[in-house]
Amino acid sequence: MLPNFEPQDHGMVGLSMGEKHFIQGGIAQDLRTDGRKRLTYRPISVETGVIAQANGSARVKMGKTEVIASVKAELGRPSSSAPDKGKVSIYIDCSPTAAPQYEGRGGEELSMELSAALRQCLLGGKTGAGAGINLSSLSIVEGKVCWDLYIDGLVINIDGNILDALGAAIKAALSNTGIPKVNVASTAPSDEQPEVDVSDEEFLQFDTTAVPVIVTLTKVGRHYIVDATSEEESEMSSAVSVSVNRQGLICGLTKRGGAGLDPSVVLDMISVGKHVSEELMNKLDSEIAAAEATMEEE
Amino acid sequence: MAAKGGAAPATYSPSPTTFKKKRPPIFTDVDWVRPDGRDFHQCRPAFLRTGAVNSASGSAYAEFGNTKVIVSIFGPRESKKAMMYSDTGRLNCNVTYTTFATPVRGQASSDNKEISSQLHKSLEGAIMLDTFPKTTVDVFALVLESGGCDLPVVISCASLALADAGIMMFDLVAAVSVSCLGKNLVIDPVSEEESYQDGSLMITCLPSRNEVTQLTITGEWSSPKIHEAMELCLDACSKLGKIMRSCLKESASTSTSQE
Repeated sequence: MLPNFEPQDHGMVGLSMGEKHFIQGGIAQDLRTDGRKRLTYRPISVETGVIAQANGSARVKMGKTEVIASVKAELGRPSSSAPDKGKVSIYIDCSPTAAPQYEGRGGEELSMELSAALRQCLLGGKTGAGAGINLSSLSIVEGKVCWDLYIDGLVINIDGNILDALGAAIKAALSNTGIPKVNVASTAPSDEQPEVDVSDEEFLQFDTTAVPVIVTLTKVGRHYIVDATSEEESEMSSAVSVSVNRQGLICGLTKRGGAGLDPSVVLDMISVGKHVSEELMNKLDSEIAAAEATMEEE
Repeated sequence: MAAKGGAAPATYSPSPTTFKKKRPPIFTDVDWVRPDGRDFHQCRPAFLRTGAVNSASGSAYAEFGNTKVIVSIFGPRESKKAMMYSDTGRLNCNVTYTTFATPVRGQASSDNKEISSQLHKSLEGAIMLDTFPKTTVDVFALVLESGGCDLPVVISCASLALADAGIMMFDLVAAVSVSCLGKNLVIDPVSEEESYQDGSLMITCLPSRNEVTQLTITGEWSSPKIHEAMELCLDACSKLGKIMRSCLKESASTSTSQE
């Protein structure tokens, strides 16, 4: 049986030996194929309020990578284990329009991996330390009513670095989110569900200062790069995604790719990621503010 | 309950003032004792055995305190027909919980897929996949009892089972996690500690190559703390690696003496 050289097989365009060497050599010399340095991002563009039916939404483009995130808030019942907290669920969908291999169940694995990584990076530990979203702020009546936030991400076009783009889109969508004001009718007897009145005029802005940004460092050869394109990702040995908040604290970390890393390299990648995240955070904040401003003008 | 409900703001507020963290008193204490009386930096005693299942190519049983897992390896065997040609072997990991593994029946079954993919990611870097092209190795793990640190125990046990099955590996994979409780770092936490943890860090590594194949962090961590936790884990991993190695040697020597 002849080997199958279908480009979709490994989720990546087939690269020739020459092209591979060109990419690797360029990274080693700090000049990548698109002219960037190793730690430079592609231009980021943010657009907010793109989905009318959602409480908040954003579209983020990083080069050719394009993702949409939407936030919907629904009234629900808090779980019995945490009666004073709301619930947040993150789900990512990889559309077959992005790449043919995501058709049917093909995208499931990637969707699951991305959802798990984002949950880990944004929702913090068991007690809520390091969480980007304060779950206690979603509580309405303790033990009875709370907000359930559904964060859905959609990958429209893939050209590498999806996790960072999704993280940015979720951050933008959350800052675009207005949670309706809720009036609880009266103090109902403790065993009954209280009546609530959801205002459709008054909205409260969501606090997003604690939401971290995600920086993925992709290791190609002996060096690591940020914001890798698909072509560069096909040459990676491993990748570490760090989520860092405004205070410079690490809120989550995951590693992709099989190859092992020396512990000192991991620590170095964390400190580089921390350094890069500051820049990305500022860039993203100004982009979000600009997007919100243009939306208000319209 | 009624009094507290009255005091809490009835509407959504981004910065609740009545937010009070309920935390068991033991953790506010500087010198609290861990539920099983261990030191903060002391692991649970590990019990490891290979050859738990007859029909498998290799298998292992691991018991770390109350956490009990069994892992069977099948293969390398022919990949499913639907799979495309691959010049490297495939690794298929599946982790399941018994319905009686958790205090509440069937509680842990929801995130099986996530744990399975974590197991896959931790192992694939250690296995020489190019030694069995066109074939698949199945790793089936069953958590008999969940007592905390399930994933690290599953990973260590799976690598032992892979070695028992004679799958070529660069090194055994040892996995250890630490929990962050307030200011303290506790290694190899039990379920109770895990449910109160502020954050956790798990490392899977190849002890003799000093390589990290997987690292996950949740919760809020400062860089020095990550340093400290990683060192703690790597140290424990190398010790666990030695225990795993001696377990393999022991089973090899008993099987040759029987023949």
